[in-house]
Amino acid sequence: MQDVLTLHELGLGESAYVSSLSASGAMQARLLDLGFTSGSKVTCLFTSALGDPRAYQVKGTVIALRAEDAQTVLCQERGCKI
Amino acid sequence: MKKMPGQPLRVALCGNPNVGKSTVFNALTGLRQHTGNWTGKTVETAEGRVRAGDREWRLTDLPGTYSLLSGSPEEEVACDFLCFSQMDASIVVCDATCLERNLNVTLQVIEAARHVVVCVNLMDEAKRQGIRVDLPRLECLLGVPVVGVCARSGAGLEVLKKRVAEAGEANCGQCHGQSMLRYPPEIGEAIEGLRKPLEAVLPQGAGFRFVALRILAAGMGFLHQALKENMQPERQAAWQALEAASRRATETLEKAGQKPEDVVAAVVSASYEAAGRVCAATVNHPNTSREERRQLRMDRLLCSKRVGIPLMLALLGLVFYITLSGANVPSVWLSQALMGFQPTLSSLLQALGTPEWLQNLLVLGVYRVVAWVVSVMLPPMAIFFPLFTLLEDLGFLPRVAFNLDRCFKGCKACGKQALCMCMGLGCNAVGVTGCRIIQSPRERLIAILTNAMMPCNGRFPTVA
Repeated sequence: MQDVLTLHELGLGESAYVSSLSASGAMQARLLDLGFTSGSKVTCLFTSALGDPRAYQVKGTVIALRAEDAQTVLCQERGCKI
Repeated sequence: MKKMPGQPLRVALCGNPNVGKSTVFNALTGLRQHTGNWTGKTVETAEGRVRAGDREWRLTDLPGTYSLLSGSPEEEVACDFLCFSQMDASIVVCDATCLERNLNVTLQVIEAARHVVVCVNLMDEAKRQGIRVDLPRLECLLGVPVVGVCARSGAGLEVLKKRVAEAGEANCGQCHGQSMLRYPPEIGEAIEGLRKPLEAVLPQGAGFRFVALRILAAGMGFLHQALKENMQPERQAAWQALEAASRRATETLEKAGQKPEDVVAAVVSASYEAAGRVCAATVNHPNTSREERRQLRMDRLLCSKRVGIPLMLALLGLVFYITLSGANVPSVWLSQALMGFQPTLSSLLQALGTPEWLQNLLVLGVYRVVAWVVSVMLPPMAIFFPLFTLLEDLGFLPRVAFNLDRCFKGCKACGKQALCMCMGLGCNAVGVTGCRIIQSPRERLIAILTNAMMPCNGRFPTVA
């Protein structure tokens, strides 16, 4: 295990692999349904004009997450992509 | 179990949201459809009739869901329907351009329902993006019929009808496809443990696996609801046995550290994992294409502070300007034409010898009001909604919602409300209906309650 971070700490254009979710209940279920399952590769694509929701690419689709939700997605292996 | 000819085939249509499910539904049913609500749930349902050869089907459109187990009202409706209503066949609609995430729900449906047919939609769009899907291989791996279609042009729909009819009339012992999902061993054991007691209460032919998973994830409540008519006194022993078995299974799982929500997570992870395996073998994605990079550059520009917000204000302003000033011309024209017809109508009624009070009622009352409303409201609507649809199709509106989410979050609301509010400017009824795109119940309620404050097309000229 190296370099554990949350999705929120991912820089623009960087990608990482989901390791686990710290959210519970409905939010956890929702994140899983959207494809944030452990092992999926997530890339931070762009930020909204006011900075808060950011767009992430996961399993071929772009999904917007607010900061507080992105903080519940734990990742590892940061790497550059674009 | 061959169905009698002449009886309509009962078919369900399900899949992820935004994969062209309604397009498939409309293409299959044409205008032979009606919509309503599920009893006791605020989830919309549509049912339609389909002519396929000499047989007729009754096609039920289920709400679009990303999964079947997460417990939202839409998912509960879809899952209950697939598990218990004993459809002759179920169609899962997938989007060929992002098959992996669509296979998640597909694999769950195969687990839950019988006679599943997978309909891979948007084949033309996938081809345009250079994505190749090996449909025969997919069919082989999933173990159920797979049909590629392009619902917008209607290509492949005849094949789909044929395969669904075959699946629905199949006289097969193995109605349920092989499970492709690999659960953690303790969950697999818990499912097997519930098999015997479940089969004693389930209607014949219903699959036990997914029902067992739901019991482990959400308790027995849903089962009592769904199988009310199966609870005769003589079955009481079977129900008690099931009750005891489910309690035991839940306890064993909890000892192994698996809480009910972990069961949901395990199922979704297992189906995404299987989806990944299937996709790796059947889908050929091009490397990051030029178009994708262009799209990303566009997105970064549209969502930047310096360009995004001014552009958004300018475009919405332009739409308003065109709607308000452009509507005046046809409005005057319509009003003149319709009012000009009024004397003709009066003299016609006079010639027919209608009494004067009835003439006044019909002409000055009904006709004039209708003419007024049509000439004031029709032109702005006929301009506003097409322009709005154009912005939506261009993908501009989702970016507006994305950019504005921070402001809405400050009001404890959701950025998507921006779209409902814009719709409300056209018509509040449409705006309120549109609020269902908002996931969180509280944010949705805020959006619904405040929508009435948006002045709609009819009120706007009065206010302005």
